Amino acid sequence: MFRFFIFLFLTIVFIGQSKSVKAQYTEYEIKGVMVYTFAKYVTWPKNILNRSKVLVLGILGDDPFGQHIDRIIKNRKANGLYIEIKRGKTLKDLKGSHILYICNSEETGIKSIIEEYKSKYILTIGDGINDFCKLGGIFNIEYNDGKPVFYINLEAASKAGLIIDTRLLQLAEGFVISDAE
Amino acid sequence: MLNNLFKKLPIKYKLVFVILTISLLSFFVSFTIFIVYDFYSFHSKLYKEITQLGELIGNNNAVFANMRGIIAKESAQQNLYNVLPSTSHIQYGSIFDQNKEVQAYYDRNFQDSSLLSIAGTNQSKNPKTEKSDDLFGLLQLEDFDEELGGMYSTKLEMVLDSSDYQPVYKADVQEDGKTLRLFFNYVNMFFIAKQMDVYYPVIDPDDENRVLATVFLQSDLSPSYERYSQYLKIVSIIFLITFAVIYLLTLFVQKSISIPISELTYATLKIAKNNDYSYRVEEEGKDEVALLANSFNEMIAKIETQNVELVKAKDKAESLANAKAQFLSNMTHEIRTPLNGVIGMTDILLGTKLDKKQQEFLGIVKFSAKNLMVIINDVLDISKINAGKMTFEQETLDINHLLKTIIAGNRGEADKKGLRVTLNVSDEVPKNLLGDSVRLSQIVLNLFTNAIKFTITGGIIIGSKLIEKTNREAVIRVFVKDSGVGIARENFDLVFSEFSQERGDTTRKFGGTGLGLSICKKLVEMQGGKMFLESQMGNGSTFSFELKFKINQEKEIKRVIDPEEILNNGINIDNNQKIVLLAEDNEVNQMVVEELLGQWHFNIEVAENGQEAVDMLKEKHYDLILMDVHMPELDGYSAAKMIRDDMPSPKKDIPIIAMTAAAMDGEAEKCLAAGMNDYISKPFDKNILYEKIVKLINSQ
Repeated sequence: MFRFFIFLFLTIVFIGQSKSVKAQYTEYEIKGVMVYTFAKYVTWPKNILNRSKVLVLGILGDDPFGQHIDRIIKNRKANGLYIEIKRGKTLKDLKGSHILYICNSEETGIKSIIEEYKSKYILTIGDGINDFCKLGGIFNIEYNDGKPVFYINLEAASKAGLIIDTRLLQLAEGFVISDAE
Repeated sequence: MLNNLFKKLPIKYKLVFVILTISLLSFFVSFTIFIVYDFYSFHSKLYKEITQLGELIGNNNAVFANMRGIIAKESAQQNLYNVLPSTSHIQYGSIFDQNKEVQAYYDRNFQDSSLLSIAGTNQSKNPKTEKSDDLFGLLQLEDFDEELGGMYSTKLEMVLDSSDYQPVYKADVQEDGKTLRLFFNYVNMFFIAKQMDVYYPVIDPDDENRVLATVFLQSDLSPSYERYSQYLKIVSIIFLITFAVIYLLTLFVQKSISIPISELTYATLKIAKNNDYSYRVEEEGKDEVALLANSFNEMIAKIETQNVELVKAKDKAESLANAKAQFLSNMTHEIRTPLNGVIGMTDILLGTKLDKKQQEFLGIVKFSAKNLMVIINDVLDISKINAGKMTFEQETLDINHLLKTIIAGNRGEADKKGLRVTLNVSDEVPKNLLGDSVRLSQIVLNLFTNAIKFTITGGIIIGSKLIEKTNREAVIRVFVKDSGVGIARENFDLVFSEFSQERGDTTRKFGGTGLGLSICKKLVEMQGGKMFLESQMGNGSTFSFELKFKINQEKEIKRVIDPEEILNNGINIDNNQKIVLLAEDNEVNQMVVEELLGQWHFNIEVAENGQEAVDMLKEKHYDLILMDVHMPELDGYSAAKMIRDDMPSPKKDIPIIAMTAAAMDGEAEKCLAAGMNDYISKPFDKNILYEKIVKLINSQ
């Protein structure tokens, strides 16, 4: 009998352990991880970041992340700085951001938003916004056949004065060139 | 037990054993140290190499890992397949994310990366239903989340139990003593592990306490074990060469030790066998063995000097003994010659006309002289026997004939006492035995005269009997039975001892030295025979002896003229035609022989010495020469030699009988060697002389 209980106990322990290994991610958990990764493997000029004590992530529009993004970046550093999140509906609210995450809700006015932030040492990330990179956005996260992918506009990145880690480039689904103006 | 075994081994093997043990021990110790060192350095190197590889892969895939494998899995997979095949010893490789989940996987056994791309598309279409048997087929896709619009879980589980590759994080490993752990890892590996597992943590560049991902690499160690089997082969060859060299060296050393010792042993044996103490062992070098050889030589030298002294002492003693024997021999010779004269003259005198009183007195003279002769002969024999100088001839002899002769020559005494003497011989006794007739006659005669002496009435039977016979040998018993006084049983031993007779008063009553039976017994025993005595007080005695004779294989003895017949038939009248030459310097002996030959009707002429005899023979024909051996001017031997060597044909073959007074050994041989036909020792029995003369003259 005693042995049976030991066996039972051990079985429960092992099942519990193997369950804990399994992990599932929601869409915005995945996107949050991607955003965090971009923050980590994109390099800002030293003088830009020296002025700031944190790396500011601005989320423009209706925030789809909820608390996920906060949990992902909590106590994590990128470019040697802790990340701070600002949320806002207007560009004014997000002044001083190093990274600008542009939500789906902003698709309509996207052109002017991109124009505003081009060439200002700001990393722009679009949340599956059509033609985001063509219009001059740097990263655009999309779902392609149910798979999370991202596109990069290298020209835009270099205009913004940002350097993207080659390893990040390897992971990109594709590279986009800005439309001629 | 092992110790005993070791003691029994020859020095050679002891040396080989000791030297081999030492060298093998040192060989194995150094080999082991080398192997351990090599193992350690090889594995350190390998560990370092794999770690570097892990670092490379980790860096390459750091971004991928940071994204927890949610995008571009194929690219990571591809990366592993690009990098790892170049290092053939890597069996497995995998990348774990922060949640310790496998995100990319490499297996050496699946090298076809083209399968990967196909797999990628297949899976994205419908991973649940279409499972190919390629690499991705091995990866189970789980928890396909329909809700998330076709997005699938990043959880990939290996068909191979992924728990085998659970990454160990920096915090777990590096804190507790790295070196110690490393050491134990090696020990474990050395005995069991077939592979080396390396976990390389990819550290967050922004936060050194954070692990972004872990690269796991498993290296196949079997090539390194192959390396050890190679080592083993080389070492075996080295070992064999070493063994051979050591063995040869040991043989060399062993030679320098055991060969001198063997030589010493050989020398000892040689000295013991040949008694040659002048032999010396060669000394080489200055080691212990040489010292041993040196002291051995000293010892032998001492023994040699001692031996020389001993030999000197022995020679001195022997020469003294020889002088004694010579003196005895000379004395008996000196006594015999005059005694011969006495007996001979007495015989002649007895043949002349005498009155009764004179005859009685002369009889006493003859008896005393004969007794004296017996005593002298006995003393001579005893001294010969005691000196070990008694030798026995091997000549053909007919025992029955010999017994007959003895009776014929000595029955006179018995007849006087009125005793009946009977010969009782067996016809089975071979007539061609080999033995010493003189000694045999002596024994029988002694027993016979004893029997006559101690028998007052009745008779004496002398006989022979065959006891045993083979083709080559025969055992004969000769007995002398009397009806005399007999001997008490308790005195049986006494009668055979020297200088004793049965009773003290016997000597007074019967005379004699008491040496006779003792001599008989010794003569019988010296020829390998045995003496017997049966007797009862008052019922007579039987003395007998058994001797083993060889049988002469060559020929049967020629039947000689029966002496009894000669005496009985009287003297042959033909003898007066025969002329005998007597060479003799002693006048008494001349007279004795002249008288005897005259009685036998021979014509006789006398020469005073050997030269005269030779000269006379040149002038005239003679039928036979009686030659005394000791004569002035030219002795008997030289004269005989001159006749045989220098004379012309018919004369040189004349029969010669030697007459010698010295009854010592070698005399007979000397006579025969000088070419003489026969010999007779003085004082001689006249019957024997007659027999010899007749035999030789008739054979002409």
